[in-house]
Parts: sequence; C-alpha cells; structure tokens
Amino acid sequence: MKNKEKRESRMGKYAVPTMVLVIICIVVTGALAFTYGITAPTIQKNLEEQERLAAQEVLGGIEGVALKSQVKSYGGKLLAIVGFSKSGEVTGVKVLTHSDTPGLGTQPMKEDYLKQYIGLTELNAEHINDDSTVDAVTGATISSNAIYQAVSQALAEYKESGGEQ
Amino acid sequence: MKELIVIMMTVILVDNFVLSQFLGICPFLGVSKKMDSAKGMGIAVTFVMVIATAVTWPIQKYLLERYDVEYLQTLVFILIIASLVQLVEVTLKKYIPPLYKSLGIYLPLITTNCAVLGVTIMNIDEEYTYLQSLSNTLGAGLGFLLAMVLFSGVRKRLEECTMIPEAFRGIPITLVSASLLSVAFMGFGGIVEGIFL
Amino acid sequence: MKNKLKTLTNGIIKENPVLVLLLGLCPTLATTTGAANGFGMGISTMAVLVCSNMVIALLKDIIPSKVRVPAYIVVIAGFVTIVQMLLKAFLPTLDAALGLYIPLIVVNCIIFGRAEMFASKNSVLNSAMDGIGMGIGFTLALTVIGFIREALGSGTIFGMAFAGEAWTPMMIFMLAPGGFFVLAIIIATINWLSKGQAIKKKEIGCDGCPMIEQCGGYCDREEGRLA
Repeated sequence: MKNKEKRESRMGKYAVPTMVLVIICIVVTGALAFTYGITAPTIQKNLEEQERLAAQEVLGGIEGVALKSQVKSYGGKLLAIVGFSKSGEVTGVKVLTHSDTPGLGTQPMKEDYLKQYIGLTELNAEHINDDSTVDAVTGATISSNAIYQAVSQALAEYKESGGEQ
Repeated sequence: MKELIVIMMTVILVDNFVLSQFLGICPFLGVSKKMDSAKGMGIAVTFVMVIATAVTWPIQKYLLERYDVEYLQTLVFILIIASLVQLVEVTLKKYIPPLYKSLGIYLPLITTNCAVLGVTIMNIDEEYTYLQSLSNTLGAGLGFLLAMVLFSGVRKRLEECTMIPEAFRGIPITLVSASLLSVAFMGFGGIVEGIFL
Repeated sequence: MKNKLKTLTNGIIKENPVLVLLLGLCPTLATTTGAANGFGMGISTMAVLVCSNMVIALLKDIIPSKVRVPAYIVVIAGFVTIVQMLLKAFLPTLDAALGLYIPLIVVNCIIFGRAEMFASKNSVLNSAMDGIGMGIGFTLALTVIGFIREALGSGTIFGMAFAGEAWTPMMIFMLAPGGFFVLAIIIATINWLSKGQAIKKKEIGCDGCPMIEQCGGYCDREEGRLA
C-alpha cells in the first residue's frame, strides 16, 4: 500500500511539471510558427526590395549587372555592391555594411570618393597603393584598400561569369 | 590556422565583448570588485560559452536550418544555455567538488549573461564555420576574463581613493573608469591584421 | 485604482529599472547611439515585458514551482521571437540598427526579474501595470541617454542635424566609451539631485536581480555588503 502511494506521488512530482512545461513549449512554438507564417513573406519582400534599390543605385539606370562583394576591412567585414555595364565598365560602387571607424574610416565610402571607380575595367594591383589609377584616402588606407579589393573581386567575378548574367 | 588566431585575437582586443560590444556588463560591474571573483567569473563564463557554442552551432546547422525553423533560434539557444548551466553545475558538484566550490557559485548568473547568448547568436550571424565559431567564442570569453581582471585592479585602486566627489561614488566612477578602459582598448584597432598577416 | 497607479509610476521613477535598480545595462549602453534607437529598443522591450508579465501572471497557478524557470524562459523567448519577426517585417531599419540586441531581450534581467518578483505573485492586471511602468521607465532612460549621445556625438536629434557647420560633434560619444561615460554622468546627476536618496545602493547588488533565489544573494555577500 505504502509503495503504491510512494510510486504515485513520485510520478506526480515529475510527470505533472514536465507535462506542463511540454505543453507550454508546444503552445509557444505553435504561436511562433503562426507568426512566422504571417511575417515571412513580408520579410522576404523587404530583403528583395533592399537589394533591388542598392542595385538600382549603383547601376545608375543603365542596363547591367550588380554584384555584391565581401572583404575584410579594418573593423570587420565590409560588404559592397558594384554595378557593371554591358561593356564591362564599373558604373558605381556602394558600401552596404561595414564595421569601420565612423568618421575617418568612412571617408572612402563617400560617393565623391567612390566616383573614381566609375568607368574602370581593370584593377590589377595587389594593393590600392600600387595602383596609380585609384587613390586611397590618407589615414584610411585599410578601409580604402578594402574597397579596392571588393571592387577587384567583383570585377573578377564579373569577368569569370562571361560578363553576362 | 592563422585565420583562427586572427579571429580570436580580434575579439579579445579589438572587439572586446565588454569594452566594445557591451556584452556581459552586469557581471562586469557587479562581480569585478575582487580579483578572485573576477577571475572565477571570467573562467566560468568562458567555460560555459565554449560548451554552449559547441552545442548550439551544430543544432543550428543540422536541426534549425534543415527543417526551416530558424525562427526558433532564440528560444532553442536560451533553453540550451539554461540547461547547460544546470548540467555543468550538477556535474561539477558531483565529480569535481573543489572546482564547484570556486566556480559553481557564478553559474546561475551566467544564464542571464548576455555575453553567452550573444556569442552563440553572433557565430551564426557572422557565418563562421564550426572551428571559427569556437575560436571566436574562446576569444570572447578570454576577452571578458581580461576585461574583468583588469577592471578589478582598477576598482581596487578606486576603493582606496578618497577624493571622489560624493555624487560619483560607487557606480558612476566605476562607469567612468570603464569608459577610459574602453578608450584604451580602442587603440588596438587595426593592430591584429598588422601583427598576424 | 490608486494602487494600480502607484504600481505604474513605481517603474518610471522610484524604481526605474536602469537608473535606480541598475538592471538591463547591456542594451542600455549598446543601443543608445541615437534617440530613435534607444526609444525603439525601449518600446520593444516593454512589449515583451508587458506580454510576458501578463501571461506569467495568468499561468502562475498552473506552473509548478519545479519548472518555473524554464517555463518563464520559454514564454519570454516566445514573445521576444514574435517581436523579432514583427520588427523584421514592419520596421526593418530599426531591426538592422538594434541587431543582435533584439534577441538579447530574452536575457534582459528586467524581464526575468519582474516575472520572478512580481508577475508570479500578482494579478494579471497588476502585472500588466508593472510591466507598463517598468517599460516606460526603461524607454525613458534609454531615450534620454540616446538623445544625449546622439546630440553630442553626431550633432543630430532623432536624425535631424541641429548645429550645422557651427559645431563639430564629438564622435567618441557614439562609440563605446561614450556610452559608459554618459550613463555615469546621468547616475551621478541623479545622485547629486536626490542627495544620495535615489540610489540607496551604490553598487550593483542583489535587489531586483532575477537570480537571487538561485544564488542566495551571492553578489551582496561576496562584496561584503551583507554580514
């Protein structure tokens, strides 16, 4: 008699709390799945819209291809988007995300500075300082070089894919 | 290999979890007064972080992503961390009592330490591989430990200082010191690349 | 009714979670690079706080004590994820600005602390009031800190420049050291204005910390505050 009581109370001690927890988990997961279903399409649309706008900006209205390029910069990864016209010229460069120092490190990300890349079809140097066709920003060599590398990378990718996409 | 070292050194010095990324502030300000507690907390946090990463990364890749339920990430990760902390506590208590005595008391506080959840999510966001994640986490923990230990030294001096204005005593002067330490660490920016590459 | 009002205003001034209880400092320092960001973070956190407070108060008699902690975690994490998804869908700029700190709301001491200390022992309505009060207090603190850092650090208020060319902003306020420093000044100011009455405990201690039952007041003992 005593054993049965003991067994039952032990069951109660562990079974009930666990059941409650499991039920809560299921309910919460269900709520999340529901919310996900509602919001996912909007989230996807937002991402696509963002990319579309960025591509539009670097292509400047011309027909062409915009490629994203990620490199390592001063404070972390730098993601840039580079636009190419049908004839393989750079139409525009824009920095999307970065972790460089605001102020000095972001000088090379300004439109006025990035203009110098427009029209280029070749970037052959190892480092921006070795290439006479583009200038680095004094005091922000690493950031300037990162952008140089990003554009080079995008250029290489563009050429590799045959210039069409 | 070099890349792993760069990742680790970057997060210890340049992107220090406490002094640059503001993760782990509560224990940083609460437990850093004495060198022993600072060390103990730092080691315990690093320990839990590494195990948490080792477990959460594969779960993200092979469970959450495979079944398209990435939105469960926050929920799953925090539950894993909470359970891990319990598990570690119980295991230490039973098998390594002396270690439990010195570290065990910090363990419950680690569950709500934003640095632990932060690093596990960060590894996924940065798209690190398994090894890179572990390096990043180890670095994050060591950076935390470093900040804690340095700061406990500073706080000891502050305690002995008699010239602090009334309004600043306690938390404010501590925060000011933290801001100075943070500025100091900013000096590391850009160094890591230069040394290791 | 008067009691409810008291519960509400408690969280705004007397027990302001950030400036008096010294809780939730991680997001306070990290997301206050702008007044709008601070405000957005505050509101998001408040949403989670109110919802989780209410649900936990609702379920307080059903949740066995043994699984109290994991149950709270699941509920809180659930609401945080919902807020995450809603932000990503409808306020993507805020989501990008707050980044990692949105999922980190789940480990914000304030939420777990209020769940443990208030919602588990009070009615749904009172818990909602508490959540709103604490949430407003949090949002207020974050917005003010964000305002100061943004104004000094980039010369803008809610994104609009106010000084023009006349004055160069001090970038450091937007960076990590600035965060620590501004918070220090604000707390010191409160200390000074209230002649030491507001922040009775000058250290981060166990009061209001959600882990107090788990660690038995470790921080206070260790720091020699308790006997």
